[in-house]
Amino acid sequence: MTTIVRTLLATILCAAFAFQAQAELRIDITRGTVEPLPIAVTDFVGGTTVEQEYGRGISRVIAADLERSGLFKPLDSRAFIQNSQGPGTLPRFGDWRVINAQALVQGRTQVVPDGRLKVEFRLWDVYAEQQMVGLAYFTVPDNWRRVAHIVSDAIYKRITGESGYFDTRIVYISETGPQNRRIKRLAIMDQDGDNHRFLTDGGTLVLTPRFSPTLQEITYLSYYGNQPRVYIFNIDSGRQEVLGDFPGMTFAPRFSADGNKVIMSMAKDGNSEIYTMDLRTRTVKRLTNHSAIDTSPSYSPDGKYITFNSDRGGSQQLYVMEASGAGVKRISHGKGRYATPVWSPRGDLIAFTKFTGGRFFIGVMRPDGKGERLLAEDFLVEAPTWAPNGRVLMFFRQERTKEDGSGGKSRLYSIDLTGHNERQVITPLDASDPAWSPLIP
Amino acid sequence: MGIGVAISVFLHVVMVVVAYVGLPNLRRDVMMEAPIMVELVTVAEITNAPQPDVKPEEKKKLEEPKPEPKPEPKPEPPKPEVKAAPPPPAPEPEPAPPPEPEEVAIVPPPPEAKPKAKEKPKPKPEPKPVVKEKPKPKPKAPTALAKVKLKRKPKPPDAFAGVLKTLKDLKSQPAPIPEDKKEEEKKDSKTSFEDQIAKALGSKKRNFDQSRPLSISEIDLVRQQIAKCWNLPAGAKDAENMVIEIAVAMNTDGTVRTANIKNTGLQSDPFLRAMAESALRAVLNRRCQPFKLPRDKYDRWKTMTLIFNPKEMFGS
Repeated sequence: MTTIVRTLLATILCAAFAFQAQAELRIDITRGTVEPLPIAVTDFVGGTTVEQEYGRGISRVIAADLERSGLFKPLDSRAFIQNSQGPGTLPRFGDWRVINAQALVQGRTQVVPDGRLKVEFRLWDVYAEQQMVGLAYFTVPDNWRRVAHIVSDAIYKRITGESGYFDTRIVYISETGPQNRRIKRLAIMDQDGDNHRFLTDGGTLVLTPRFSPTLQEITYLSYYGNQPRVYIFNIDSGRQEVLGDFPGMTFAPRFSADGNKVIMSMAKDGNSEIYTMDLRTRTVKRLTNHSAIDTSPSYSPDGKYITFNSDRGGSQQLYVMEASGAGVKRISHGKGRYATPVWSPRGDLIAFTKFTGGRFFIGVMRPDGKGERLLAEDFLVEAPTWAPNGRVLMFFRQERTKEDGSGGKSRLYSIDLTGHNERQVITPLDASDPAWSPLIP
Repeated sequence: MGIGVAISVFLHVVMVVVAYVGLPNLRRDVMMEAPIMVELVTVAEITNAPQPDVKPEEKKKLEEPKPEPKPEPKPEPPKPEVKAAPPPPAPEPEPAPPPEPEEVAIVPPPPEAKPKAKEKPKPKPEPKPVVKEKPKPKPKAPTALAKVKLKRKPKPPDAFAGVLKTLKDLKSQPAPIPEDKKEEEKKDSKTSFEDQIAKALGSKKRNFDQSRPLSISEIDLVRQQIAKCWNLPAGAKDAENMVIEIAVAMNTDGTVRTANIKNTGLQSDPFLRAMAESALRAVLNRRCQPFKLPRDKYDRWKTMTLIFNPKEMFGS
C-alpha cells in the first residue's frame, strides 16, 4: 500500500514540476503590419567620376525597382548619417537604426582594365547586424541598367524569399490613331519602361502577344494578309514564323510552362475549340470537342492542367481540365462573365477578367475556384499577365470614349497580389495586351 | 478501511493540487488566442476587466519606463563593440561573398531585335488561301462597352490596410473597410477579453500578486508593441501557415538583450527564412522597446519565447 501512496506522491510531484517548468512565458504574435520595409540604398562608390556616375545611376534604378514593388520604402539619401561607403567595410549600424533603416545596400562600381564594368554590392540586415547577401557582376558598361535590375532581384529574393521580377521585359500592343482606324504595333520595353522600342511597323494588325516562359520568344496573333494567324517571333534573332497550317482562324495562343508547346483556339465553322501544338514535333492535338465556344486556354505551371473559358454552361465561365482534355470542371460560379484565365507561374492562383454589373474586373481565384478576389476594376480592364514570380499582375485599363471621340485612353498597370499596390506603367503611346517575360537568362 | 480513506483523501488532494497547478496551463491556451490589435492609450483601458486595484501600480510602472528609453543608448554602444569583435573572422576583406563574377559580360540581347523584326514580318508569311470568316477574336468590342454608363476614377492605391484586398464586396465603400473592421474587432475583443479574463482568472482571487504570472492585459500590451514592429513579407506563399519561434533574453529595463530564431531548416526554405528574419527584426527593433512589462515581475519575463504566426491576417 505504501508503495502505491509513494508512487502517487512521486507522480504528483513530477506533475507539479512539469507544470512549473512549462511556465516559461510564451507570447503569440498573430498580427503584424504590411508596411513597406524601410531600406537605405546608398550610392555605389567609385574611384573615378565615370565610375561614380554609374554608381549613382545603379542605385537610383535599384531604389526605383524596390519602391515600385510596394514592399520596400527606399529612404531619402539626405537623411543618411553615414554616407556612401564601399561594400568592404562594416557599416555603422547604429547610424542606420537611427533613421529606421532596416536593411542597407552598399556597393561599388569599377571599370576594370579590360573595359568591363564590375559591380559589387552587399545587403546588410541593420538590426541583426549581419550581411544578408553580397555579390559581384561584370558587364559591358552600357548594360549597367540590367545589372541594377539583377541586383534588385537579388535583394528582393533575399528579403522576401521569393524570386524577383525586375530583370524582365514587357511586350505589349502600342496603339495610335482614331478608335476606328487604330494602328497597332508590337512593342517591347524593360519592366520599368526603359529601353522602349517597336518590334513591328504597324502595317499589320497584331494582337495578344504572349511570352514564352523559357525563351525570349513571343507568340501572338497577326492579321498579316488579312489572315488572322498565330505567329512565333524570336526577339534575339528577329525570326518570325507562322505557327502551323490550320484550316480555320487561330487565336489566343499561349506557351506551356516548359516552352515546348503552344496552346490556342481555332475557330472553324463558327465554333472554336482548343488545340495544342508541340513545337518540337509540330504535331497538333485537339483537346475540346463541344458545340460551345471554348477559348483562352492556359497551362498550369506543371503542365498537367489547362484552364480555359467556355460558354458551355450557358454563360461564359472558367473551366479546368486535364492536359489531355479529360475531366472538364467548371471553377467559376460567381455572378457575371469570366474570361481570359491565366495560371500563375507559382501555380497557386488563376488570374482572370470578369464582367459584371456593367464593369470589368481583374481578379484571382484558386485553381479549385475558391478564394476569389477582385483586385482592379474599371470601365474596361483586361488581359492580366503574371510577373514570373507570380506575385504581380499587369493588365491594361481603357477609359471610356466620350461622344466627341475624345478619351478612350488605354494604359498599362501593374498590381501586386495583395491588391494594395497599383501602379501605372508608363508607355509613350496608348497601350494594351501586355505580356510579361520570364527572367532574362 | 483506514487505507481506503487515506487513498480517498489523497486523491482528493491530488485533484485539488492538479486543479491549482494546472491552471496556468489553461490560461496559456487562452492567451494564445487573443491577438487583437487595438490602439492603446493607457493601460487602464485594456485592464478594464478584473484587477482594479492593480491599475495605479501598473501605471506607475509603465510610465516610469519612459524616462528609461534614454538610458537605452547605453546598451547600444556596447553592441557595436560586441559586433566589432565577431567581424574579425570575416573582417573587411570579406571578399568571400562578393566574388561571384560568374555573370561575366552580360550581353544586352535587345539591340538586334528591332531592325530584324521590321524586315521579317514581310518575308515570313506564306499565308494559306483559306479565306473565311474574319470574326474578331479576343478584342472585346469597345463600342458595345461605350454604352456602359458607369464611371469611376481609377481608385487610388489605398494604404496597406488588410493583407489581401478584394474589391468584391467593396463596390459601395472602397477603402474605409479597414477602419470599420478594426472597430468591430475592438468590440469583439472587448467581449472576448472579458470572457478570457473571466476564464483565466475566474477561480482565483483578484488581488494582484507579484509572484503570479503576468496578466493578460500586460501580455497583450507587449503583443501589440511587437506587432507594430513586425513588418512581414506580404503576399508570401503559405505565409499563414508559418510559425516562427524566437527565444528572447530580456534586460531588466524591458529592452531585448538577445534574440535567436529557434526554427530550423531556414537555409532550405527561403520563405521561412524571410519570415523568420522579419520576426527577428521586429524583436530587435528598438522603436518598439522597452516592452511594457512590470519591472517587479522580471523573473517572469527575463526569458521568454515569442511565437509569430500571421494566420489572423489572412482570414480564411
